[in-house]
Amino acid sequence: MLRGFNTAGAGMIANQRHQDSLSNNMSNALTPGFKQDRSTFRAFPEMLIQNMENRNIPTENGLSIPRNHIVGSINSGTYLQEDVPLFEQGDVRETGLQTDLALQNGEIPDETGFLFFEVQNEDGEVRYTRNGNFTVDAEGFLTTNEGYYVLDEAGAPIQTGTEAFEVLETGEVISPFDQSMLGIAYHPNANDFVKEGDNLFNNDGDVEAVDARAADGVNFQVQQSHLEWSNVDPQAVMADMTRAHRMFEMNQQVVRTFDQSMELAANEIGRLR
Amino acid sequence: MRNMFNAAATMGQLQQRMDLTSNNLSNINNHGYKSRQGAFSSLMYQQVDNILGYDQDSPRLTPEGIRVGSGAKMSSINMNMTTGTPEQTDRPLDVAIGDDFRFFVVNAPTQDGEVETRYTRAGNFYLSEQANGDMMLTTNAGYPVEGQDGPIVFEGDFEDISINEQGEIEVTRGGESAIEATLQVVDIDNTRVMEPVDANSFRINEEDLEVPVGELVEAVAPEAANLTPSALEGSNVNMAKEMTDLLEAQRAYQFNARSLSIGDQMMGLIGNMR
Repeated sequence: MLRGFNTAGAGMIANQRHQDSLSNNMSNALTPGFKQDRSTFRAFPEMLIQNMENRNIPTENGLSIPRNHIVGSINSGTYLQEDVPLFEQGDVRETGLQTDLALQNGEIPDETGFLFFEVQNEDGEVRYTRNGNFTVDAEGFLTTNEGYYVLDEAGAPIQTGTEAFEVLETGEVISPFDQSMLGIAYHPNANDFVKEGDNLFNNDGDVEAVDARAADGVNFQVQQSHLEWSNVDPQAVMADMTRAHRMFEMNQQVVRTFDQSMELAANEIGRLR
Repeated sequence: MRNMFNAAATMGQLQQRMDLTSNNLSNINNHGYKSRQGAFSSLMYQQVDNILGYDQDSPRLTPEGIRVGSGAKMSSINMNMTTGTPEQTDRPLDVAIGDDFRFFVVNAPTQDGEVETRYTRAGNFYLSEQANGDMMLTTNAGYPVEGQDGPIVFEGDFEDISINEQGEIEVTRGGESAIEATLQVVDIDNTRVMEPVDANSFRINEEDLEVPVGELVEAVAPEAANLTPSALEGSNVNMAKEMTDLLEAQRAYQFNARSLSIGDQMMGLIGNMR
């Protein structure tokens, strides 16, 4: 068996997955609060190769001694292990709409810590988002564009009654109806958060997110009439896409080369003329 | 071949964003027009368990598997309700609103022959002669403008007419001027409930919203109307911003097209494996 066949095939699949992830990043280059995914590759587990043979010793009766020796280690290719969202602050842009809120990280004690707005999905569960492109529904509640309630500090929906409300830098909402604090969650390890679509994140880890105001050493700022832009860098993504394409092509060439060897093995070895 | 579908779906949405920009630009001279802004949101993610158990114990940052996205959609179109610059026109039947979230009320016919209430900020009014010689105040489309006591209709033979800053219509007959009607002005604090009918008029669909219109619309007393007579409110479209948005969307479209064509080339490579 030619092992390299599978190795190169695995390389093609891994680069295809990388390309999928890159194209999704590119698609979301204009999505507010989007955190780009970065792919990591990992080699398949290593294997030891042993050479097994018999050595014939020319004695009277003929003696065959089995002999094994280790050739070395090999691995059978690579796979895309993870898509890690890059939890970094995006640029903040002015939009002029009062319902647009941008969350700006201040000081964060943990390297992987991150802050989020809290919203409630249709099943009543808390989800997290950085996309502050909110709106006000007919009953006057502050919601996301999908109609999910934006939650306050106590986990209750916020009723502003109007789109002409004011949000202070501390996240305090001042409106004719409710005066409440926007719920801002802090999690020390944002890598536990998985993407769910509609810019929502779900906490998949064992540690609960905490109220950012109560967390030690956490600072943030909320800016009204601004949005946090996507942190996708189109130039970098384009460069990576080109590279992933070429890696795919090179792996394909390797598969073809192996195929040619296979062809020789099938048609030339043992051929009778 | 997810990357091609991602790119294709997103290109369609970017096209809509460019359409929106072009609509803003074409209404740049439309009185009372409010610029609209589109914003994107990511589409669903699929959990892919890409390893089959044999490498479970390898160190990793994120929870098991990978989350593969499927592109972006335009998730909102919001109106910027800031007041445009008033332009002096010196035309007696022009009147501009100076406050944000304030509207004139218009009675317009629907397709099934009924009358519905619409809201507009375009204050360029006209007189329409009725069969009996009376005059009715209408919009440029000919729909009756709502006054404090229903449509504004008065006798035809007058010497002069003007609208003051409280929305009162002063008609001069035989050298004497008198207030014969007053414009209805309302405040709608939550403009997200309004559906655009045309470039600058809106309706509120009570049935869809399941909230009575009375709770959304608040009448403004004439003394508080704060209108500017003989002027029109310009649109609040910012040409520089629209052009920037257009370029941004165009480039994003280009990048996604590139992503699509790379996907195609990769398909080609698969096709040429043998």
